[in-house]
Order: sequence, then C-alpha cells, then structure tokens
Amino acid sequence: MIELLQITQGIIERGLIFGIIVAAVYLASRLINFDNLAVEGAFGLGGAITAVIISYGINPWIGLIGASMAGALSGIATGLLNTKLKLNALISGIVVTTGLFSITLKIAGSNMTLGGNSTIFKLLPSLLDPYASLLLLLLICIILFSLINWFLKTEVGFLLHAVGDTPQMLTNVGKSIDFYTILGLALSNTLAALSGALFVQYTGYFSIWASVGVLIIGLAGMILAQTFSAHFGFAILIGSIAYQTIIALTFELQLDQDWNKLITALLIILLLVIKQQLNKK
Amino acid sequence: MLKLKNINVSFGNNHILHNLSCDVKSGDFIVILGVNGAGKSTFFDTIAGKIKPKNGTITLDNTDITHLNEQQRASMITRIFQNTRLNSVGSLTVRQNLAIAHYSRRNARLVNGMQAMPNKRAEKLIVNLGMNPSILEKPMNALSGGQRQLIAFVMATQLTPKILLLDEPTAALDPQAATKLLNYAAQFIKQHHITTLLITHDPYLALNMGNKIWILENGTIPRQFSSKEKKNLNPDELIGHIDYAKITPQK
Repeated sequence: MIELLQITQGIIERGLIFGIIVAAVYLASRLINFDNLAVEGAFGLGGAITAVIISYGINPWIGLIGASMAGALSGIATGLLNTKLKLNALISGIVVTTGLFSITLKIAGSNMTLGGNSTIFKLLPSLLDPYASLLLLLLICIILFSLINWFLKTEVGFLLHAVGDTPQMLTNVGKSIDFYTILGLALSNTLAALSGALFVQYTGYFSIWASVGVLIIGLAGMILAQTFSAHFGFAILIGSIAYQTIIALTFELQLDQDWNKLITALLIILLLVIKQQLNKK
Repeated sequence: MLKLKNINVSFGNNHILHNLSCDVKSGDFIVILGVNGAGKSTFFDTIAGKIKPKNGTITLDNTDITHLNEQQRASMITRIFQNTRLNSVGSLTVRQNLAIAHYSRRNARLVNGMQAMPNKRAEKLIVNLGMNPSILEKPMNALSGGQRQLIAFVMATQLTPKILLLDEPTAALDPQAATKLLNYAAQFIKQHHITTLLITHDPYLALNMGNKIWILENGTIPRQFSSKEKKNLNPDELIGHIDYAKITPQK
C-alpha cells in the first residue's frame, strides 16, 4: 500500500513537472498556431543552466529564473528566424533545438550531478516530508497556471489568440504579427526551460539525453489534456499526469523500456483517431 | 482628402495598376465597379498599404503615407474584407472581438482585455444591430456570415477611421443578410460622414449607395460619375460603361 502511494506520488510529481512543458506545447501549437519544435532544446538548456547555477552554490530559485530567461531568449531566436528570415515554423524550431544541443553541452557537459548542493526541494522544512516535493510542485503549478490564465485574458493575451487564429486581425488593429508571434514563442520556451530546470532540481542530476523526446511527452500530454478540455487550464496538468500514469504502467507490467517511445507514438495515433471519430459524430 | 498620384503596381510582367491617379474628397462615398482582374482589390491593397507601389505617391490629408506599411496605416484606414474570416477572431467571443477593436491606435496593455468593452456598452451595440445580447458570449465562429459581417462593420467603425474600405462585403452573404448589412452601413456612414470606398459588382447597389461611381478598368479609372450624373443612369446603362473585353491577367 505504501509502495503504491509512493508510486502514485512520483507519477503526480513527474506529471506536474512535465505539465509545464505540455503548457509550452499548448501555447505554441494551440494558441499561436506555431508547431514549436524548439521546446525540446529549451528544456535541455533550462536544465543545464540551473545545474551550473546550483553547482556554484547560488540560490536554486535563481537557477529557475536564469533558466527561464535563457528559455525566453531561445523562443525569441526561434521567432526571429521565422518572422525576419522567413524560415518556416518547423525549420526554425529544428535549427534552434539543434543549435541549443551544442550550447547546452558547452554549458553543462553531457552529464552533471548536483551533489550536495541545495535545490528548491532540499530547502523545504522536513516537517512536510514525505509530501514536501509534491506540495511545492503543486504550489508552483497553481501559481504558474493561474498567472498564464490571467495573462491570456488581458489585452495582450487576446492579441496572442488573434495571431494564431486570424493574423490579419492584428494588422487590422495596427499591431505587429511578428511581435506577437515572437512573444508567444518566448512564453512557450520560457515554460519549456522552466520545466527542464525543475526536472534537474527534482532528480538532482542533469543529462543532455533527458531532453531528447521531451517534445513528444508534451504533445502526448496535450492530446490527453484536450480530451478533458480544449481550453488552457488545469486539464493540461491532468493530461500530463495521465500520460505519466500510462508510462508508469509499462514499468509495472515489466515491459522492456526500449518500447516506451513506440508505446507513446501508438498512444498519440490512437487518441487522434478516437478524436477524429468523435468529431465525425 | 486621399490623393493617389501616378501609382504603378505590377507583379512580375503583370501590370495591375497603370499610372493611376485619383482624388477622394473628405465625406465621399465612392462605389467602384469593374470586371474581375481590373485591379479593384489591388487598388484597395495599395491604399491600405498591403502592397507598395512601384512608383507614385499616396497622401492622406496632405501627409505622404506612401512609405507607411499596412499596420501603420491601420489607425487611419480600416478595411472590411469579402472573406468574413479575415474581419474578426473566430475563436474569441463577440464581446472579446468588440474589445479588440478598441486596441487600435494605442498599445495593448496587461489589463483585463474586456476593460475596453463594458457589458452595457457591448449590449447597446448589439441591440442597435437588431441582435439578441446573448450573442455577445458566443464565439464568432458560431455566427452566420451575415452576423459576422455586421459585427465586423461595427468593429471597423468603433474608432471612426479617416477612410473606410469595403471590399465586396456582401459577396458571401445571402440577399437578406446583405440588405441588412448595407442598410445599416449606409446609415452609419452618412451619420458619421465617413469617407468610404466600396467595391461591388452589383450595378443596382452602385446606383443606390454612395455619391459617386468609378469604373476601374485595366488598372486605371477611365470613367467617373458624379452624384448628378449618377442620377441619370439606370443599371443597364451603367453596365454598358464597363468594358468586359478588357481584363487584365490575374496576378
């Protein structure tokens, strides 16, 4: 029973961390209608930056802020490639993710352990154990998602909706399509980098390979989330937790973990086909 | 006053507008007729700043706006497209769209997006259109083409523009919805003295709306009818003035 509780807690915690990258994928693909492959690179970059900051003994919250700022810059780079150099969305994302792989390697190497350095999870009072990590992640997600929800209902947020739906409307009201595309991508990559930074602090270890395939986790989580609600909100976290549950089940069923990616791919196909069938009805 | 002088627009070897010059006086409501490919939409694209002319100048109230882009001209010139989807944000509600129309001419802020469109004001606008206020919370995508164009007209005129461009706004509407939109638009334009240019293929509409008619042909305006001349025309005579043999190749 205790073991089941621990497994469930682990699933929820990972679901919350990856829920932030699901939000990143949602904001790019559903809000501004941009298939942003750069989230994968931003996730790794965020992890590397937080690992290096923490290794210098700096406050781990600064590590999260530094990672988020670097993520925003990677989003701006993706946006500039798309809007100024007119590269298509997919190419812009691939180029940035590829470039970030080298930058990330130069920042933190291929692996880096945080050792005994402080993380946001280690700063918590032992009084809250064993639920301290879960409560902190829940608090971070509630604050973050409430902030995004508020932002999307501001004037700037409405214009982000417009850039993904009817870009001409921005021109109609004298606003720059390029600016709002770049803003949306900066926001998306900020979240991806924050997710990467939280993942590194949670596991206490940075590996460049942890970011490979993160996009598909975001995509699968988003598709699952949209079976609950098409709008931005806490359904995104539920989708992410649902995905982590499926992956955890493959562990429990003692499936060869080499099949994980194939299972994810089949899951995405299945969900999309079900959605298409439901839409037909 | 809007002045276009010696405007030339071409795409590769296709010359769409040929040395086009014209004056639109303040308060004019000009209806533009012409065959497909005559350059009507390119004419509007050039005025709105979507297309930069190869040469020539465009001035608005004695200010040269030739080098301003579409976004920069949006505070002075608003346009309603034939394609209803280009005039509003389909996934947002009617009220949210009405609010967005108010972000023009200033920076968007990090405040509640609805602040620019209080509920009472939005309800009044919708009631004036003869619609039920419950429509305000519906997404634009859920509305009929006629309803979308009516709301698009309200959005385009929330902040009175110097020039209003109506690019076949009724082309995708059924006759009933088209009549409703045109009646509302004609009354509003007259009441607020908005300088307006309207593109249409309908000679009856051309004779019933506006104070002048221009025929656009091969990228020039060879014939113009004043308010007085217009009164002596019937639809058949008006059609007779359009040379259907002269069609510029499509861009």
